[in-house]
Amino acid sequence: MICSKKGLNKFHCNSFSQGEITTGNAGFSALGRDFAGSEQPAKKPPRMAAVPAGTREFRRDWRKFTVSFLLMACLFAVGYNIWRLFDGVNTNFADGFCNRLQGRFFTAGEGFSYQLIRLAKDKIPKGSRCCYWTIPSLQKEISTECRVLELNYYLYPITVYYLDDSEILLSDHLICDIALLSHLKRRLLELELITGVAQDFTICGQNEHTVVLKREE
Amino acid sequence: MNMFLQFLGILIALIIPTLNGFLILNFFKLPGLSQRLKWLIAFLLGHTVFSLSLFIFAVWGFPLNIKSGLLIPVLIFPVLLLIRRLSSWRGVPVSQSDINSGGIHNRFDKLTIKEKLNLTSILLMICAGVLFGLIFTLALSQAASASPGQAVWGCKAMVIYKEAGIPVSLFTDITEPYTQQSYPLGYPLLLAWCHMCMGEFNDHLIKLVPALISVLVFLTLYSIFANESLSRTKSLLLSLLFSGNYIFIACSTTLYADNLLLLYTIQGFYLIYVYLKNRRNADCLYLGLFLLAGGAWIKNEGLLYFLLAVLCILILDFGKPRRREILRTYIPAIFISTAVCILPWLMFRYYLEIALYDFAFSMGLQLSTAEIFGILKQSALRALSNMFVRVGDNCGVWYALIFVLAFYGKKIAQNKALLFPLMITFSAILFFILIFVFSTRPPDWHLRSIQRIFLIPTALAWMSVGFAMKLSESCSHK
Repeated sequence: MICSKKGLNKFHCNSFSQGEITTGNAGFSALGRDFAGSEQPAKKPPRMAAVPAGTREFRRDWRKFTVSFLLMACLFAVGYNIWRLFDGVNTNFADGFCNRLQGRFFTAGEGFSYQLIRLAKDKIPKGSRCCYWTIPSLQKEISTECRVLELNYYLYPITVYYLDDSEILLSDHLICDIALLSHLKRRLLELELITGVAQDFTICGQNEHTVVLKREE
Repeated sequence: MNMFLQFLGILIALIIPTLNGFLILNFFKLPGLSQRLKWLIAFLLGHTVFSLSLFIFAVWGFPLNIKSGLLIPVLIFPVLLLIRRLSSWRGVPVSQSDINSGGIHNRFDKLTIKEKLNLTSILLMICAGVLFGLIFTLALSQAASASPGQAVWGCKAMVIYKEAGIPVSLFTDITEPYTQQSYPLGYPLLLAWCHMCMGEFNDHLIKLVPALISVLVFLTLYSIFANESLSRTKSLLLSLLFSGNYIFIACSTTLYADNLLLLYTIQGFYLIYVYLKNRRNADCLYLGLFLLAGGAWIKNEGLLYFLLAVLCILILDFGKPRRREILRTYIPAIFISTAVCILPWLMFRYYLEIALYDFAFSMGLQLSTAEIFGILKQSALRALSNMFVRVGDNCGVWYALIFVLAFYGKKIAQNKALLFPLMITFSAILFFILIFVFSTRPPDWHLRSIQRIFLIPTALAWMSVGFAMKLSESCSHK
């Protein structure tokens, strides 16, 4: 009936008929004259009426569900990180109590680095010319660089060099990874043969990770 | 007891620049910002001016000690008075609506404590308390962790403290592995100032500084969301979700400078966002750009964010009819920020011929097209995996951002203020993928620290999600 009215295009017709069927209010207000019997002119139905019943609510609910799901997932990640943090603190305290039992300073959390530093600190006197020596392929390794930087930090003003061969002749102490010791000893021997300088580096301290070599005078 | 006094020393070391900054901040009209946010901005503003003054003292040959540090506020105060007298032309008219648009802090001040807190917000506060309690405990319970942070920043701070100045050998003596010699001195100067206030060199307690900065990051994010009229619970939730990021936690317990740079960038970007939102208060733009330029005084990465911010605001306002007026505001802001925060360090670097440690433009030119594509592909894949796969680094935010773009993309595109943090986020990621082409090291070396690179884009993504939440609230009210 309404579709056949002049001036209402197909879109209006569709939206109106859908509104009439699905949303009671839109239909009622639009057909106010027919059903309610009032003198109000029929208003143009709002475009939102084109959405089937429940779609808007469904979309809103779906968005709410997605947002809630994402936030819950993020909260779970935060909880997981807090657990990791707690685990780290717990490990540090366990290490700390172990250290204290062995008569060392409580805060010695990071075993590897601390062992390196402690060994170097014990064995290398201040003002020494010290060289951190490693094989060339490891020069750009971040772990090696970290260790060198850390040594420099704790042993300041001891100068720590990279593996530049010529500097080895000037150094009175060498620090290297124990895994590379045999390799580096060969390198040292080669260097000795090349330069003809009688160098005799002997091990003055070692642990399971690191070795400190001292040049015999 | 001695430890407690040294802890107090660290607090005093952070409070003095903050008071200094608050003195300067009073010269700016920031009516739309809460008092809490103003204090947080004051810390960074004060620290920038303070560390730059210490740097200038050192360049002129003055010894750097606690006396010279305390001299700075005394010297700055008359300068500020002079500027105040001379700068009456820069009075920015502030409307009543600006004064009233102070976010929830106005609304919340009228509520009682019982009304302010609900169970969810109390639980979130407890979570945040546990998180930061553990961060402080972890920072103090380990001797040496993440040695690059300790060695690069801590070592420089130690040399500055022990030498009572900035020796040139810190930059020129290549046998001393204070690597990243091209890194700016803003952060080492802050650490050295903390050592000065502690009265002795304490490499153990100094790790409280990044932990305290992480608390400031949390408070800043909370204040930003609260300032945008998000509810207390939502503000707390979003701030906590970012602070639970594992790399943020890692940077808080070591001496990395990333948290301080993060604080600079989020405050700087938010101030520019406030300017773009209401366009009335150019002071926000001045301060925002100043803080971003201050970020370049912390890490070289900060310079990138400053340049990106300048580029983005120029792109956003390019087609405006009142372009001349905008340029009249922008050019002085960019000029002042660059001249005060960036130029002194660049000139110093140029004078000492300190090149960038890891990057060279010639590297990119030497590569073949296939090699460039290989690096780009590798970097992009790592970036994507970091964004969408790593649970510990809170990858949820990127999914949330996709959701936001899918549902509110059209509305965000119409709003330049909302577009701004998104533009910065994605352009920064793109730039980081591209820059590895110019690296002197293999890209894999940089990609190991890609999580740290993503810290600032992640924070900006959370900010965008928060702003979109406010947008959705206002849409549903309509």
